[in-house]
Amino acid sequence: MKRVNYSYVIVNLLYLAVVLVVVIPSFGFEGQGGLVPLVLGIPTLAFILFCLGRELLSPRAAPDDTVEVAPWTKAAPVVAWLGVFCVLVLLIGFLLTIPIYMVLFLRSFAKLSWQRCVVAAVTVWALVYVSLELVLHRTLFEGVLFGAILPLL
Amino acid sequence: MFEGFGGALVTISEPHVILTLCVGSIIGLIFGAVPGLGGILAMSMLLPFTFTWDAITAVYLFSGIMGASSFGGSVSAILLNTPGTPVNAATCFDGYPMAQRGEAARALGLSAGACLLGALFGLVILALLIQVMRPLVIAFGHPEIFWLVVFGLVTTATVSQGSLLNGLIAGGVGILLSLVGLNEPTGLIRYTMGSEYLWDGIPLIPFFVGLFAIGELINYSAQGGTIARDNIQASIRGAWQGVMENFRYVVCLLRSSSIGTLVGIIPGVGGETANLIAYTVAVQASKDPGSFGTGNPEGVIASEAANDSKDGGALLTTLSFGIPGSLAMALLLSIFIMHGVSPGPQLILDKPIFIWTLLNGYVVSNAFASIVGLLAARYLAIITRVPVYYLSAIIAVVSLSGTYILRENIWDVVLVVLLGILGFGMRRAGVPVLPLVIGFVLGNLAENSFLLTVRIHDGSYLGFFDSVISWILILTMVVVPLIARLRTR
Amino acid sequence: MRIPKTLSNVCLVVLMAGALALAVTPASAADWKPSKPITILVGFSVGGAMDTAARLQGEVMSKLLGVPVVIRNVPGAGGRNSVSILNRSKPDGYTMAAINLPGQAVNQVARGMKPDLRSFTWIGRQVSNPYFMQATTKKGKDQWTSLKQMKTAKKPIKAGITGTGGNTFPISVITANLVGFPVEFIAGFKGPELITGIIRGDITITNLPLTKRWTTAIQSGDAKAVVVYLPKRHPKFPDIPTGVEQGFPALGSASLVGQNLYALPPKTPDNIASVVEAALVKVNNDAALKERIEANGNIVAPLSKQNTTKLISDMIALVGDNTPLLKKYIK
Repeated sequence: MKRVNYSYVIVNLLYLAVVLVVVIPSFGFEGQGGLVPLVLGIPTLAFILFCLGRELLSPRAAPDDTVEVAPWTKAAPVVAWLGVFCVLVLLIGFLLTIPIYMVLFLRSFAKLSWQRCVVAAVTVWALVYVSLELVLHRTLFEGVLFGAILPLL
Repeated sequence: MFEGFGGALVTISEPHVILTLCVGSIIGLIFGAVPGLGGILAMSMLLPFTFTWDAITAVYLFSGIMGASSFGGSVSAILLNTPGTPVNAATCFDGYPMAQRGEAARALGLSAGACLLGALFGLVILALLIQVMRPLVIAFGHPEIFWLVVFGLVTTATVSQGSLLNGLIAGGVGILLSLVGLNEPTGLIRYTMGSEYLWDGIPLIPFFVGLFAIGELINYSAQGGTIARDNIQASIRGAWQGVMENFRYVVCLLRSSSIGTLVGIIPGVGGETANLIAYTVAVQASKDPGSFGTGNPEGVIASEAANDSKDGGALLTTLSFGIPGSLAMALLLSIFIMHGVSPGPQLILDKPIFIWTLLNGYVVSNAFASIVGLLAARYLAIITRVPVYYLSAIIAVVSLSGTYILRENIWDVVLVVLLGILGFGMRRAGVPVLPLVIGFVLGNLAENSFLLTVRIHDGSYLGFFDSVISWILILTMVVVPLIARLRTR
Repeated sequence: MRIPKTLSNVCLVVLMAGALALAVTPASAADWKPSKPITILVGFSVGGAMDTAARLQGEVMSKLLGVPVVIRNVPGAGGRNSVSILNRSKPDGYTMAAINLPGQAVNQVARGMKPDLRSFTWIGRQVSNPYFMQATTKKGKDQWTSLKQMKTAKKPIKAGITGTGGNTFPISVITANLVGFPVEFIAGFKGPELITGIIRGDITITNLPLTKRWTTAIQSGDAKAVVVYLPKRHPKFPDIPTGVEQGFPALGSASLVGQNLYALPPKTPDNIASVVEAALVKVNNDAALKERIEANGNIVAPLSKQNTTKLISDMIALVGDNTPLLKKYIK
């Protein structure tokens, strides 16, 4: 069946954004700072526009190998969970996030019993804590709510 | 030069040395397998403890770590599509599809064999080349490095599965991404959009962990089930079969080891390039290039053989010139100096025993890691039959905290997740990942050597064509794809 | 029994000395005793010179202070991450940083970045890395053997540098300016490539830290050492002449020696800073440790709080004087 491969369009739009971020300021650089970026960026830009146009105007059959890849509808909850992990780590740090994330993720995805979730979470937490903090003496991020300092962005 | 060899062999048979090597290898295996950690971290952590040791024992510990960590990295690349260290990136392309087919043990065997044979090959080549090392190292200046890297980039276009245009786009975007940050030759800070985080560019390890580990994690978590889709009984025989297969693909093994050794010898070309160049050359040279990326054993052999042969070359350049090619080598160099061994041309003449100690230790630790890997392959392969939800939770936690530990920058964790989404999107869109990775690894190096060549030759472009090596590389670049095309017809 | 007068005098002196010692020792120094791990921020990756020295010193410092000393690598932006994080850390003595100078002074003065380094509570020196210039001996290329000869150069001398971050950049630019030879800086070499560049003759001079690692081309005769930027010759490399000997006294300035200095966050109370300083002095006087670190060519020499603070001001002033020159290469 021929229909637009929206993943393909989105990835190419992302590529387009990267190329534009590089190509536009490159015109303003003095010396040779913009040479390589422009020599590569302009053809890449042309290829992307061509591929995007082709896909939108005359969609081809989706390539076979995407069959092995899960659809976005199924991937979205996983992505959301990873987002939750990031937000929690930023706020309350790794050592609290890890058990919370493990328990909730295993409970909602693997449908494990609460006891099993807790056992798994405690095991992984202990592994991370012992190996990184106790053995390697590294400090995991403690979360901005507990006074950790965000590095420059 | 060879007089130190016997002495080094004697020391290696002492019980405390064997113990040190084993401990080093096990540490290397573990640190290599966990994404983000890597052998360099292990070495720097252990550095203060070794001060009271004699130099030779310390060298054995560190060569053990170094030798085993790249095999450790291949274990996670094969089983989880997560390169444990950046040098294992190319192992994912065929190792992981093999694991998905239920052939994890075989792939681990392939890797174990290729690691050991690659390291041995590197050692033999070095023993032969040691007298002509100097001209070889000096022959590679920026024009030659430029052509070598362009060679790697051009082959990318021809190896990308599916549409050539998609491959070119991904390669181009990969290169452009590598240009973000402070450009030293021009002093410009480019494409950071005001961010200080991007001043040093997009960090390599979060790039790999995101694109591979998290990208794939999203996929299998969404699909459920297990990583291995076909349930083939893994056995030690499967792993052993993998080891022996290296001899079936002996041409690929030798070619990749040669590429690895050469890349190792050249200072300034990072270790993460060897496996990618060897991989692309393997695809080009193959009669069936379409089978790469779907679980072709040659893909695993090419990547891992190049990986383990490159360290021998890098070691010799480091020791005989004091010019370390990578962070691991720089660390090793400071360990040597701290134990009273000064690098330099005199070292080969004055203290050959140190060089042999290091090289022997490196090969023995590779052998040790390979044997451990082989024995454990059956159990490691079980990972591919564990329900993915467990794996997904554990891998998310371990790889994200491992990535954080390396630079202790929390934005790296956010970047990993964003790149993971991109990685999944690329799989979903049917867009190739390999050209993007190669472009990203080689792009900056290509631009840097281009700009430096022009500056060194007072603005003239003739500098690119004034050496024999440049011409050899240019001709290879033109001829190899032609031959490949003729063969596939 | 009558106490002999001399003895009573001695007693008196001892008592007075004791009282004096009690009065002089800041009572506050005894006040602060760390009770949790101390973090040393290192703005470079594991395995670098600064990281290695910090790990070695941290090990000894941990024994002295009775708490673990943790090295936290925050690489990025040419060492600037450590400056930025230190600036925002609590001044409680549990976070300190090793900072590379004059590299970071360039960020402040020529790039206009905050914070002002003078606002930190400086406590002493980690190591100093004297820099030296080596010139190629490749046939067919210009051969430079002394600074005076370099002043006679007709066209710009090609000098290789890694980039505009780090110490090599300001030291190379400022020394060339002080001597007054025509120069063209070519940036973008990775550290080790500077040596192959010299051997190949792609560049004719380069400045690097004076350590064994960077002198291999001199051992093999591919390069000649022209000058070391120190007031006196380096004891481990006595063959390399100083700039002072060659008639350029300004090249002996301490501000031209690469320095890794330890700092605490701004406004750290004196009692805390004194405890850390005292520990650092003991660390720097540990003979075995000194030997390990100096094996490489770095110099371990204690520097008091006051002198460290003064050195910072001097370096910022020197970089300030040369800002127009440095800005030529910073875009």
